[in-house]
Amino acid sequence: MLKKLVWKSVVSRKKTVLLTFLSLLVSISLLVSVEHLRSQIKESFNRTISGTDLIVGAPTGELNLLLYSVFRMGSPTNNIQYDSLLMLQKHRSVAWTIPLSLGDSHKGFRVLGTTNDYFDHFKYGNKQNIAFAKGNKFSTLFDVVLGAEVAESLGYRLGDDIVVSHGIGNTSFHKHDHSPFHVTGILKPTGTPVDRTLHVSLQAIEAIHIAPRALDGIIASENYNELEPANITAVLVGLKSKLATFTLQRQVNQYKNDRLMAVLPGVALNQLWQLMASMEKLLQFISALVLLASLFGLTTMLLASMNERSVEIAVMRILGASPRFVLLLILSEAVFIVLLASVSACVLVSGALVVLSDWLSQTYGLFLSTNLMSQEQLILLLLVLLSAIFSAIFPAIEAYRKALHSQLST
Amino acid sequence: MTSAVQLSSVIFSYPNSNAVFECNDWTLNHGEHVFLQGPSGSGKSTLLGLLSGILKPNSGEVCINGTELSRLSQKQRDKFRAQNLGVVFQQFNLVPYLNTLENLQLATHFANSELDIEGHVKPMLEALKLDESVLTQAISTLSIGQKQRVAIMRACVNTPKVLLVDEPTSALDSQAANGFMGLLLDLCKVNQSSLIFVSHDDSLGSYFERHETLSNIATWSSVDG
Repeated sequence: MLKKLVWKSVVSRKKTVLLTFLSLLVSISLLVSVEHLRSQIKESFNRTISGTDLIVGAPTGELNLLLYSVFRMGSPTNNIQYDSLLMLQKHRSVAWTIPLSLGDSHKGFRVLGTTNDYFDHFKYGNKQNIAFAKGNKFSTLFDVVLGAEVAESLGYRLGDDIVVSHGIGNTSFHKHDHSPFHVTGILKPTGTPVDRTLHVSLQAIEAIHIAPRALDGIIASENYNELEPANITAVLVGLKSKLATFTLQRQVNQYKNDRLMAVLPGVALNQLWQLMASMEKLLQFISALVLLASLFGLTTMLLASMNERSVEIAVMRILGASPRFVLLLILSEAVFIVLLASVSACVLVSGALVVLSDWLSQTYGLFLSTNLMSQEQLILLLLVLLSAIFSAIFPAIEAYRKALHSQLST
Repeated sequence: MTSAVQLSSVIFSYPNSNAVFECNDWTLNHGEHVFLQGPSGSGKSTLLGLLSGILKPNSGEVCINGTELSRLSQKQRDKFRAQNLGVVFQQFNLVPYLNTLENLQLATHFANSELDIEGHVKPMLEALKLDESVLTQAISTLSIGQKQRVAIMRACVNTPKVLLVDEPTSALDSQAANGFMGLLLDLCKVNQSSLIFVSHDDSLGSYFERHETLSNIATWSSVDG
């Protein structure tokens, strides 16, 4: 009976209920999205690099180095000498190195010059290696390995020929048309910037920057050593033992033959969080305020309806309804509206994530899961429900009081 | 043999009010119908509130069918009201967003009883000259006369021992009012209910053998604090 009453009563006030529902829908959606974004951004960034002990690059901010070398965001301020890579490779505590050379693009996707060590040692997520969906590492000068998203959104397949341009951006005025690349491998999706990267060899990066005639000469003579780069952007370093991390970091920072800086990825990521923590808090605060406003709206709606409902409540009292029943009826209506709004908000946000996930990953490098449900999210929704009950208690007590002393006749 | 209604030494005052309602002794027998006349402000609502157990006297006893209401807990009083009393008011007797049938079901819900449509509701519909289609009609689509008849039906759905009726005909013209009275009294006879009929309209008094004036039963006095 209570369920039927709640339903009929809500339906009978559909205009005000709809407006209250919409305002709750907007605020709960906001709250849910902010929470989802917050947890997912952290997750998305944290999974980007794993198993790398040091990132070595030109002296700049720790955060900056991390951003351009791993997240492919912004431009490197300076390069380091190729000899420094050789120095690191020879170092006794170093297990492996991955040189990174950035600065070129292909149709809006970054081109990364590296070595085949990248495919062997680069790890993301929970120390997962990157894996090939199709094809292989590069074996000749103009081989390119595509990230999953590059292949998918540009429709490239194994064996396709593509052209790489100098500079970053979609329409670079200087296209290296003379250096066509050949797709030899396509990687499996990782949910990291790797998916949006084209991987070529370090020599290939040199090749697209030298004069066409010189390049023709080198290819004709097969004297590929001449393509050895003088500079690279950064180096990812894996150590034999983690114990050597700080020793090597100090040695790198004090290296005399080149201006170098080494950062620990974890430390730099932490800096990123500190930067984002206040932003996060602000977003949470704003969405909490918006929710508060809609809950006030809910209270207002219920309170305003109490006047017109005093008659109905008197009728119920006369029929033998206990004051508790009346209290329960009002509370149930509020809970019903909030539950409906919460479920709709989750559906709405999930839907938006499905639609927007491609755009978000391409534009902002955000790899968001479309699965909203997490423990935090459930706790959050539970809190919303509790605060709704809290805000409905006042109108309900008003109804309870009215019911107790209902003046029976007019 | 207990009476249907027995009031003795009842004193009542509203919270934060100096006015005191007093009723020394009043009895209504089983199956008896009484016409209670009184202008507004003479304590009708208070009396009805006390009889229905919604208001609790400061002192004295209100017995319905041998049960003293003040001995019952709040919850028991609510249940007792649902099972033993039928109330019809001037207006506002029905929950507006439920249809007729659902209003009847609400009444049986609080009385913990089952609604017997074939054996009970349909004969009542016939006695009240209402069409069966009224059951599924929304309350807002009913005429005033229909609403009052549905209100009687709802009040009688649990075959109450006592029926309290307050100015039910004020919204009806005299012809409709006379028709209504006939139907009401017939239904009371069938259910063997005692009837307390409150009105300020003398002309309806002719339907009753026992007449009372409210001011003779109960008095308001002001206590200066």
